[in-house]
Amino acid sequence: MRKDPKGFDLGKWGLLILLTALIPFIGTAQNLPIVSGTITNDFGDPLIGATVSVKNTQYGAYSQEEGKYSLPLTTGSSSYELVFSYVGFATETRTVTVNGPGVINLNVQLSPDVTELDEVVITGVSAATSRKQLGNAISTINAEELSNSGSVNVLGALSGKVMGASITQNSGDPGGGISVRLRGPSTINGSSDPLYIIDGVIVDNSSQNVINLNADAMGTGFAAGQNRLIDINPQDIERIEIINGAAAAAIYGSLASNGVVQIFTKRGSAGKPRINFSTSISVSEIRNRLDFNMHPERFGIQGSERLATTQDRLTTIADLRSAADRTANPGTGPAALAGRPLVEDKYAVQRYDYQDQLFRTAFGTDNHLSISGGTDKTRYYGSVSYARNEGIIDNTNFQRYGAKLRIDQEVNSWARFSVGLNYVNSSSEDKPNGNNFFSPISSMIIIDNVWDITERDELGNLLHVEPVRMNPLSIIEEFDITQNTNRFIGDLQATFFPVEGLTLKYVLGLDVYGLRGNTYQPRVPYSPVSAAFFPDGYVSVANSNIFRINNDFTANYSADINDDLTSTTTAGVSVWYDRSDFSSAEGRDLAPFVTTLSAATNFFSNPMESISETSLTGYFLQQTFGYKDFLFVTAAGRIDGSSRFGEDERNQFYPKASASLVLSELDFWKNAKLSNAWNTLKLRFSYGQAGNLTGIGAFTRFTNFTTQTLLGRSAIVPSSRLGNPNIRPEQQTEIEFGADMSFLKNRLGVSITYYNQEITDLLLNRSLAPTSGGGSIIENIGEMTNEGIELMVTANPIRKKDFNWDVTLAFNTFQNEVSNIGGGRAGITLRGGGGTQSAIDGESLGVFYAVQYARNSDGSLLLRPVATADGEVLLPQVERGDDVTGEIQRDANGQPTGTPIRNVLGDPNPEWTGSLVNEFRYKRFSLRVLFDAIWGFDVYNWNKITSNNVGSSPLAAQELRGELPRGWVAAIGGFIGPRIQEEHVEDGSFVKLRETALSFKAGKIGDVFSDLTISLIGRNLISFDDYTGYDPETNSAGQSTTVRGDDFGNVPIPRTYQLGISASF
Amino acid sequence: MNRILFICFLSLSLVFTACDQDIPNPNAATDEQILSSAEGLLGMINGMQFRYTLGGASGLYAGISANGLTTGELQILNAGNAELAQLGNGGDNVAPNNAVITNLWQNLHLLKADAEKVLENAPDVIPDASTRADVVAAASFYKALALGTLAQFWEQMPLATAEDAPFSTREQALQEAVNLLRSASAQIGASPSTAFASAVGTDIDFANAISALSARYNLMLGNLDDARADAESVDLTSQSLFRFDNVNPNPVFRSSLITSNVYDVNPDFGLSGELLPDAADGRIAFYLTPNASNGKGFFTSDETPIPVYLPGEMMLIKAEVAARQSNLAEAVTQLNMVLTKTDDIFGVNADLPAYAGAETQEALLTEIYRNRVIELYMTGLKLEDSRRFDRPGPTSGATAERNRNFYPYPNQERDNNPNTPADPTN
Repeated sequence: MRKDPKGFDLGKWGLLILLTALIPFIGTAQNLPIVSGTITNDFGDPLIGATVSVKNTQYGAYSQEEGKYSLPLTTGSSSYELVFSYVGFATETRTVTVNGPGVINLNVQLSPDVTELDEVVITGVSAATSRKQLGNAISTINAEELSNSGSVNVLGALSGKVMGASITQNSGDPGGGISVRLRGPSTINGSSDPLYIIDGVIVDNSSQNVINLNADAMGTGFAAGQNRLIDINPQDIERIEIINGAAAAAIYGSLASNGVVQIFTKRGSAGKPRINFSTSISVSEIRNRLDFNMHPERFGIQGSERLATTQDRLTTIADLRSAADRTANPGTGPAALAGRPLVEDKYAVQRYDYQDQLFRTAFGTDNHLSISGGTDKTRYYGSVSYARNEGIIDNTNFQRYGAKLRIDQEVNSWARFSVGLNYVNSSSEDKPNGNNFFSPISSMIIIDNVWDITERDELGNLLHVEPVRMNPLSIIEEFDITQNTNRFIGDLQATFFPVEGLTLKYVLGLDVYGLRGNTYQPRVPYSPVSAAFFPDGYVSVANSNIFRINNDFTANYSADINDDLTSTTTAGVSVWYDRSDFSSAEGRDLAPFVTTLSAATNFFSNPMESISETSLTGYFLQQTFGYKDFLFVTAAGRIDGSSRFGEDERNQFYPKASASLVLSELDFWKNAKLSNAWNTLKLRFSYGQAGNLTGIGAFTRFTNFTTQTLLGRSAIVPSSRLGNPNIRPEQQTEIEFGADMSFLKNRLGVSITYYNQEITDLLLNRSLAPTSGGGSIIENIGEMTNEGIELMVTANPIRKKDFNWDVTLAFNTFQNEVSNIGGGRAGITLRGGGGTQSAIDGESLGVFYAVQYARNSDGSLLLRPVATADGEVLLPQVERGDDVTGEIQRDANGQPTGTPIRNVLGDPNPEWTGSLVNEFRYKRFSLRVLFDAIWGFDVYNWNKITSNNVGSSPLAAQELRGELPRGWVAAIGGFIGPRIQEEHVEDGSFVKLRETALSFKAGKIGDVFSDLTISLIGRNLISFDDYTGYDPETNSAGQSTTVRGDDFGNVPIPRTYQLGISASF
Repeated sequence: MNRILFICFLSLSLVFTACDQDIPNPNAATDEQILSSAEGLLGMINGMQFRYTLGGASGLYAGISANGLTTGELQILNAGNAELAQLGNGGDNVAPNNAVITNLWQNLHLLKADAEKVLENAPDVIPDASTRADVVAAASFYKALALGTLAQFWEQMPLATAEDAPFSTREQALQEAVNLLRSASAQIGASPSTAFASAVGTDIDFANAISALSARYNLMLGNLDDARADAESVDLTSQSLFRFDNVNPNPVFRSSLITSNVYDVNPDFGLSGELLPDAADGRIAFYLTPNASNGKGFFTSDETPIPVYLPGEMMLIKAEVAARQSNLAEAVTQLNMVLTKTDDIFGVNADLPAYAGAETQEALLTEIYRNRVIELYMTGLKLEDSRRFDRPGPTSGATAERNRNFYPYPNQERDNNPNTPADPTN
């Protein structure tokens, strides 16, 4: 019998839902005074979507068409302080006096403020609060900044726009995954991606592997493929708020140590129905092509006409001829693999640039139709969308259908409801990801470029390439790999204003999706092909089902204690439940014609199912005091209990404290002459703790005995990883302080923040002496710190009615260090399959720890004499000595001696990121140019290793031309002595022209269009970098926390042009 | 007042919003569940076979591969397989962090720990005496196999599973293995109980396999009489097999041979000079000639079973004991059984003329060694044999027949166990 999921009891939840649903019908409406008018900018143009709210409450309204607003005043007071605000403008506060029912007219003009210190935010704070009052930094991104980015993934659209972030696209696939790191990694075992909340729903952004079950993932920690935030349409987003760490996010408790990204989607506003339609077409192409060896010769002795024999393989680094052949005609070069001398003979070959066949010009389209409107009481926003994006590899694409509805209902003066429904169907056609030798890119790089990959037999079948390997076109043409996601995200929000100052809010959030992946690889029509590539065909199906529900109830009370002192109190309870269920089946040796699992005749791997359930309950309390308008102090705490941890460590407390001092609000400042030029100075300080729930799985604390089948019988195998009931959540303690300043009538803003994060109790698998009965145990060991500075300068150098110029410059530094995790000089290996990345005490997480060239004291290569039949050659070699101490050793001849020694050769974490955004508006034209820099990080170029060794690289060409001695590539590649990994660690620093958007706003055209905008957008047009691979912005480990900067067979990020039209009716 | 009412309601509802936080794991059983049931312990016998025989990290694969590369049975095809290549290069190149020997050390010790769990709990949870005896015998077999295999590759190792476990000599480990096997042999019935046969199967004839292992380890210990007695008690028509199928494939075939990209056999079994095999030796075709999938010997397909021991090993043990005890005529007789064999139950048939060389102890021992190398090719025993027959070791320069004597202790042990002895120099 199958039990119901334990952690979720609908009965208990149902009561809450029922209660909150009934409550609003208890009250009645009254005849009230209404304040109304228009809100305009400094040129008198109407501002649509500006807010007007009653001070210290969340009660308010938005301005509509022509800037008109209308707000009923509800509480029966005789005077109200109303706050008018709009993004990019300074907030105005006005007092209105009420003399009974009737309309009070109040027009307000707002003046610009590039610092946006008056912007109202709600993430991590007690109540909707202006930035000015915050003790922490916060980034906000509005719809305008997201539009015209040319990215189908909302996270891609954030590149270069978030303070303290490093946002990178890990793959150039059409649905390629994106990593967001706020202030660096904060865990090793878990995910370093922030918590995502959309309209109150805690949404899943995991990367589920449903299509690469047969790929060699080269060890653990890989999370390649799409990240599920790709299901969100950027065009439905109104604004995004981002807080970067525990200091700001403590009230999100054990989910928040990576920061919080809160997304608010569009809502309707009262007025005539407003229809908005946008459509675009895009063209993508490869931005940068690799150089290949085009020398018309090849080392070796030709084995067969079409180079089909074993001896036609790996001729640059090995001699794979038969023993008889070698005896008859020995090689004369240095001895390489298995002690066989390399062949120095050459033969003529035709070389190809396979990139001509591999890449195509890809097209895409993005269509979005929305309708919004409503009455004073009921407002709606609905949209449907369709986007399709082809990849630059043939037969790859991503498409997304979406439908969204948001209804806001004011039941009466003190109760509001909001319901949001979002359905998405995302699907993609894929090819194997990187990290194996049958991805399209890897299969091109793992063969020498001497086979004509387009040649076919009389039946039209492609022909073999290098023996053992796959023809890249077989993969592109024949593999059928698809993913399909059906996702529903829904929320119910109920807000009540029972008495003045008190706001009660209940949010029910649901995120439910099913993701299916199918892989079909037909039989390969040629041989020999390695068994690892399934030449007899392969088929798989995998399903992942996610169910998440969050229930949040918050009570917020704001009051003026006296004329100078205000108080805001928030208390809440939050219950979160997650169930995920993954199942898969695969088979090989396929029957003809059938492309589903039914085709398999050899089920070489058992079907599997894995269920994970987690529940989390948190209680929090946050108190803010404001003294006059210049000092704000906040203290908060949250208690969290998660089912992932044992009973004794389950409940954790996360405190927070912050203060903000607005010096420019003090009289001495206001009266000083300086205040004309230096308008605002705010100092802020914040401290907080938060946890990371992803450090362990739902059942990791148990010692699990797994069941396996053995010849049809049940076999029980104790896991070599021992459980540990006493583990605690990882904990981040963060301090940040900074200042926000504005100058020159708020035309120049400077914001600077220093942060320091200490992450303690890192959850790691500590290896055990096998003689103790286990291989490893999960424990809280080790610490990590992140430290850095975030600087943002915003300026509005020119502001005229016809011409406007805005500049934003952002600069963020990162310093990550791991400590006390042990493992000596070598630390803990993070990447399998070569083990190049490690966590080492005193270094950044995931540094490349590898062997290097032996060098002379002047830095030149210390070559070693190697005997050949024609005399000695001098070849590079690895540095040697004592690998435990790192001491370099030399023998009597001055040659390296001892074991190869490893050192830290690079760091995949950036030293700094920065961006420069220039926006020009001239009459109806506007131009935005965004440069995005990620600097001071390294990439491990696996592709370079491969292309060198097979002979298709420029280095191999040099050896062919005699510019390098025979054996040079083999010596670097590990076939004459150990592989010299230093050759493959490269500086990845880049500056990219991330976004270029030229728009023409035609405005109102006749009676049809109320607005028409045409945009021409470029994305990733240019990259300035010294990287020898395709693009240093890549990671074949996908969204992995630990394995970064890994360039192995990934599709490069394309250059994209987009032409879009947006029209309102 | 209505508004106040619902504040109360809402506050009340907070009390109800809590989830159950003790969620059991539906995907796997816990140690308490398994170790307290007979079904669980029977499953663990299969689990031990699973751990020992399956996958590229298993003791069986790592033992065959490491032994083969250290003694020249095997050659590396692609040096990109760095961990295996280090073993092929031998000497200093075999670092204490080598993944193959770490796997070998770890999985054999875990196998030993699994067996200890079964041995500890069987008396309390298996009521049926004959099933209990079978379970104890099978667990003893795997524990002895773990200890004995460890002793082939390391000079010292802990006998018991414990934190900071003290190390004993390899002779003590072999003696412990022999003791376990002797005690198991005394308990086990002529045929397994129904419950045991149904849960574990009869692919391994434990009664004979236990005697065979006992003969092997007694020989290594130099207990010649015991070795001969054990070898004689093995029924040479009995088969004991580690079986495989599509789901759980033959590890050497699946992880290495079929790929044609990892390692492969060396011509002439890696022998040279006086040890070169007779070109007419039928075992060349059996062990060295590839099939269509590049499979060879006991590694020809995913399903090919690997014998726990070979009948030829028992004959050669008897021959070696006789030769070492200067019973040369008996040694020739036993040796000839191998040389002239045409009816081997596994098809390992030399089909050669009878021994015609000098009937001296030295010549016979050399011939026995050559036949052990050939007959027991890729069974993981050559490193031990090479030492026992005093063949040229790693310091013998160009004539070296093995590139190490013993392996260094894996870092994983040294880093976590202060009792780890110093590494052997080679």
